[in-house]
Amino acid sequence: MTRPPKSALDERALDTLFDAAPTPEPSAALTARILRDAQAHQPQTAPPALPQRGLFGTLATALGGWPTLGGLATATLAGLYIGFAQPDLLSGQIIGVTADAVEEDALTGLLPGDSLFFDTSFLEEG
Amino acid sequence: MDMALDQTTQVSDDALLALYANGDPLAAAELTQRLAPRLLSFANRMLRDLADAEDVVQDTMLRLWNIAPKWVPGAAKPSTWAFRVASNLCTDRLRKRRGVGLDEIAEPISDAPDMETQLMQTERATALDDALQTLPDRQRQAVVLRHIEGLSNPDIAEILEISTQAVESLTARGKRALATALASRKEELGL
Repeated sequence: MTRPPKSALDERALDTLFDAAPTPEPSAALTARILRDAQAHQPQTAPPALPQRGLFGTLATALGGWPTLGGLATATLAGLYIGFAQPDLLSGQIIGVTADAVEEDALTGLLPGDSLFFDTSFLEEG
Repeated sequence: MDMALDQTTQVSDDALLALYANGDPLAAAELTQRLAPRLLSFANRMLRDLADAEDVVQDTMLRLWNIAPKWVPGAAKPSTWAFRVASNLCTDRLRKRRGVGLDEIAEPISDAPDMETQLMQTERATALDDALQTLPDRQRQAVVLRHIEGLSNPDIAEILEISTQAVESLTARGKRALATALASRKEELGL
């Protein structure tokens, strides 16, 4: 490693020079040029994308939204319940209403008390 | 979300760059205010031509605006990144100049006619700039970044893409060369 000659500046003198080094301020024109570039190249913030509606979403909107769908769902479930739960009670009546039965007594089979609640034999005796 | 003016000083360079990328209209002005003076000082010392130095600063900042949307926060300091770009741009310009005849290069500022009327402070600054021009490019970059811009050795290592030890070696050799180059002007500069 080579040493500087004795006449060379010492560390403190160099520091004095470094401290004296001026820092040029950017001119207004340079700042304007930089900011013009910044504006021209600034990414534009896109508006938030609308949520994509599927077929179901489109249909739901066309029908009037969720309140309408709620009513439809309730009606559908009620229909299903009536369709599946009641046939036990009705099937006997439907089977009873055949051509032969009608001749015998069309109304007897339709009375609820006929077999379930009341003894109707006293009516026949009287 | 836009940023209030009084909040900008608390915001990191990283965050300002992210705000710029998200469309904040004030972030660019604040980043320019923080980085441009330091970049200009550095480029001017490297090139010794204010117009050229201004072009380097504008080009560096333009590259910063372009990289903003892809910037990964915390990966590097925007200032370090900007100094690296400016350093490379200065090196490119210096290489091109060396291809130009010596007669076409502008005379150093120290030969300006009104030199004798300048204050001691200005004389010292000019003497330092003259001496800096005698250093090889890499030494000059390291000395300016370390002793004039006040950057840390690790930051300079990142800018120059060398090891910290190499930075220490460059700055030490640069300072020795400066001390020798300025020896003859010791009395004149009151040192």
